[in-house]
Amino acid sequence: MGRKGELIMPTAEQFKKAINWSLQQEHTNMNKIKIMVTKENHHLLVDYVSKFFNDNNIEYPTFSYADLESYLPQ
Amino acid sequence: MAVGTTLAGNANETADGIKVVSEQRANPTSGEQEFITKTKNEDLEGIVATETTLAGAKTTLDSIDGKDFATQDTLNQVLTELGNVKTKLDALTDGSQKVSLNGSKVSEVTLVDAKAIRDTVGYTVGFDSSNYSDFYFYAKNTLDVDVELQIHPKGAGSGHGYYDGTQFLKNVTITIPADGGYFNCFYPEMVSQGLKRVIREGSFGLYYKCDVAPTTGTFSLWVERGN
Repeated sequence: MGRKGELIMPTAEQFKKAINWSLQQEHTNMNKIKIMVTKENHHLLVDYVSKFFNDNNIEYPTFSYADLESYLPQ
Repeated sequence: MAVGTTLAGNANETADGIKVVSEQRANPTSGEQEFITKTKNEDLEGIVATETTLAGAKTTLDSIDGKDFATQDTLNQVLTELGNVKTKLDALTDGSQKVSLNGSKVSEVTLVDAKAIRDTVGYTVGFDSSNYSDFYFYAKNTLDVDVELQIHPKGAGSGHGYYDGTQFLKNVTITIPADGGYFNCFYPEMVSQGLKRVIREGSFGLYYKCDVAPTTGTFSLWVERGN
């Protein structure tokens, strides 16, 4: 928690860890088709990064794809 | 049929029951002696092949026999490539990837790019529609909570009333359902008929929020427009 009880952004290390984990995940979409999570698929990547935070009890505030861009592998 | 074998003056029969006769003659063009093989099968009557032609055919057959026709490994590589193409297509079609078609009348402007909303704060985003005669919205909501969306003329915020020519409108809201990520397409007119004239003539703002803080998923909003 930050000032006034606001959630603070995870650290750069936590973001990188979450992104690297996410980019190794396989997602099954609504049509039961399996697709890999990629950095081109913004929705999926952000979804999986937040899942990583949830699963690892890392608190985080609202964030979007733009917040991940500086941590993405080249 | 015997191929490339000298059968001069002999009549043989193949396993298929086709009679084969070979004879020697002078080539009408070169004058050289050559062997001619003839079949006596009625269907093949009149077809003549020289030893040279038959040897050539055999060489061709041998080369085909040695070819590597689409092995399992090759097919797996093709399958992998197809999978990669499909992944890219999925990214394009689910709205998560920004798309701009240069030289086309259609373009896409991302207003909210995969936002993992985790609070009940109201957010605003602006869009300059003054140069475009037609456009419509797309939204994708994979959050576990509905998103409430309001469209306002520029300068008017949430809760502000505006006059549409016949009446004052206030807090006109459209709900983007938490439906697991299906595309939601809607026209500005669906929000309010009265907004049509206002939006067509200039900039406007979009205000969106969740009544309950979502715990999973993301929200995206973009505009497709035609000049």
